[in-house]
This record gives sequence, C-alpha cells and structure tokens, in this order.
Amino acid sequence: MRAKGMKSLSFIIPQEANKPFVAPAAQGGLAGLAPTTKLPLQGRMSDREIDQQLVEKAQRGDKHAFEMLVTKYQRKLERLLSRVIRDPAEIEDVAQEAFIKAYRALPNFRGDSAFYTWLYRIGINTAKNYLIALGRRAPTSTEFDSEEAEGFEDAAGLRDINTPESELASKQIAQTVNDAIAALPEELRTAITLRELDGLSYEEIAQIMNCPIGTVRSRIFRAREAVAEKLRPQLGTSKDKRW
Amino acid sequence: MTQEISSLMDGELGAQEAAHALQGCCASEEHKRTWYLYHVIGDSMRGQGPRRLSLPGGVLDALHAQPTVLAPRRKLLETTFARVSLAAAASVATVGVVGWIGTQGGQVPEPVIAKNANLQPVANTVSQPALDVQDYLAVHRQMPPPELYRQVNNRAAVPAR
Repeated sequence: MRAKGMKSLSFIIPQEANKPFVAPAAQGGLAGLAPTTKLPLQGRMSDREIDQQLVEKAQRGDKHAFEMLVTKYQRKLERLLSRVIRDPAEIEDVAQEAFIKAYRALPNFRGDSAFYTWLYRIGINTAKNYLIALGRRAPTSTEFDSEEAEGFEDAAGLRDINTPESELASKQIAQTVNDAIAALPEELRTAITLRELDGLSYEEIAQIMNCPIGTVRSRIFRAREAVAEKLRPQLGTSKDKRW
Repeated sequence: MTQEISSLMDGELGAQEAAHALQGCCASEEHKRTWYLYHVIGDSMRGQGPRRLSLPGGVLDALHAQPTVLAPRRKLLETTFARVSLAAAASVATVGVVGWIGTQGGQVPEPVIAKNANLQPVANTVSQPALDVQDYLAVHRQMPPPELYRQVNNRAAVPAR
C-alpha cells in the first residue's frame, strides 16, 4: 500500500537508478507542510471498485478487461512469488499459470474479497504446487500466508529477482523514469510525487499546492504523459500491433 | 481519454466517467499501452519497476488461447446491493407498520358488523332458571346452628389492670 501520510521530502537527485524516486522539495520545502486530513471520497470509484468493474467485464466475455488486470498486477504478483521461488524464469512461468488459473476461475469469483487478494492467493497456491511437483519443499503456511498478500507491496525484505541482463534493463527503465521526472517543471513534479509516493488524493494535493482540483488532475496527467513519452520508444510497440 | 485513464488510475473519477474510461481502455490497444505505462511509472517511482519494459506477451498469448469465460449472471439476491436493499426495505416496512399501529393509540377498530342496522345484537346474558324457594330453605337448614358461631368483637382487647 502506498503511504498515506506526508513524507518528509528532501532534495535528492536520483543517483542510483534502481532506487525509488525521491522528489526535490518545492521552494520553501514541502517537509514543513502539515499533514492534511483525509477527505471523504464520495462518488469516486475506488481501486477495488475499478478492479471489480474489470472483473465483471471479463466475466461477460471481455478478455481485454482481464488483460488490463494482468498488466496492472503482473509485476506485483511476480514480486510476491519471489518470496517462494528463486529462479526469475520460473517466477514468470508460475505467474503466467496463476493468471490463466485466475481467468478460468473467474466465474467463481463473487467479489467477496478484493481481486488482488484472490489473485495473490491463487499465485501462492500455484507456486506451492509447482515446488511440490518438482520435489522441492514448499513453504508452510506459517512461512508465508497468502492472507498477508493484501498488505504486500513494500519492496523491503524482498529478494532481487533480476538476472544480470534483466537488471540492466530494469536499471535503464528506472533511470529513464527518474530522469524524466527530474526534468519536469516543479509543479508537475510535486503533483505526481505527492500522488505516487505519498498516495494523496487530488483534493489533498490541491490544498497543499493551493490550486483547484482540476489543475492537479491536469498536472498529474501532464507529468505522466511526459514520462510515458520517454518510455514509449523502449516499449517498442507500434499502434497497430497488439500491445 | 488519456487524462481520463490517469484519473481512473488514481480513483478520481465518478462511477459513470470511470465506466466510460474503462470502456475506452478495453476498446483501444493504444489506451491499454497507456494504462500499462502509467502503472510502470508509478511502480518505478516506488522502486518496484519492471524487469523489462514489455507487455506481458506470454500471459496475454496464453490468455487469448483460452476459451472465453462467460460467468452466468448473478441472481438479484446474490448481489450485495440487492441484499442490502431488500433488508433495508424490510426494516422500513416493519418500522412503518409498528409506527402506524402506535399512532392508532392501541384501539381496536369497531367491527363493521356492529354498524349494520339490520342485525340485532345478541344478548350476552345467559338466562338463569328461577330459584326454587324450597331448595333455598333446604340449603339454609343445612347450615350450623347459631350457637356454634363464636361472637366476634371488633374492638381491640383492653389489657387487664
């Protein structure tokens, strides 16, 4: 989960590409700002509700909706699986199998739990079965409980699942993102940092930056678009090609 | 549309706008790429970037090889909203009925039949047979003689001096 409180932001130009981005503080320092109170999110569709919408579309036969869930959760699922399986290639295979199992089991998903909790549980069970099939010892439930998957997102304590080749690629991606963000105008950089690192709502960011919510919406979008423009050549897909 | 995708990811769209944005995302490969890249940006900023910048082609190919799942539509009562609505409606109805009874002051309305002039009220007294005098005297004779009764004084007893 993203941090919900204000972090103290210090001026650090990212030196190590793989490290999380730490935003430069605005003039006067964002660290001095008091944390804002949480405001009601009436009428807004939460992350879980968006997932539920995508699940329901997939249940009605829309595979594109499930593709969106795959692209959203693939990295997180792989990071979770890295706690059970060591080999990156195996992690990828098990993640793929877990997604296919989840897709086949979609008619049974009733929405009682969040989609990602359900998916992560499938992922862990798939990984355990995979290890048992190979004659390796699967972790016991006390070593890893799939229930904790709900709160799993923190990078701390996770093994690096990169191979030397993929580590280079991974560093390049992180470097591109960090460079692009560092090059953003300050108001865009501040807006996207407060959103992505501090997990603040648009309303809270608007209060901090003393601007209308519509401006926050626009700034975050422009920041994302500026960074995405740098990433698109690396993605290497044309518009007419699937993905 | 891309701005809508950005707001959608942040949970900052209303239900209708979000449904529209999701529809647009699912319908366009370009928008799906945007959805992917925007997530990569957030993950990278949090130090959880991908190992390589490519869409999960293996998963998607395997997904497209799968027969399309079609979940049966859930019955009305299986949805949470319907269950909550039904429970709320039942509660309101109960409160309404109890409240209505309370406002009537607990009086039971007169039966309609009593207002019908053509009907005669039925006597609710049961006719007793006339008491025979001889029987009455016979009962009194069976009573004990007066001397057997102890006289009762209703004045408090005065203690002896």
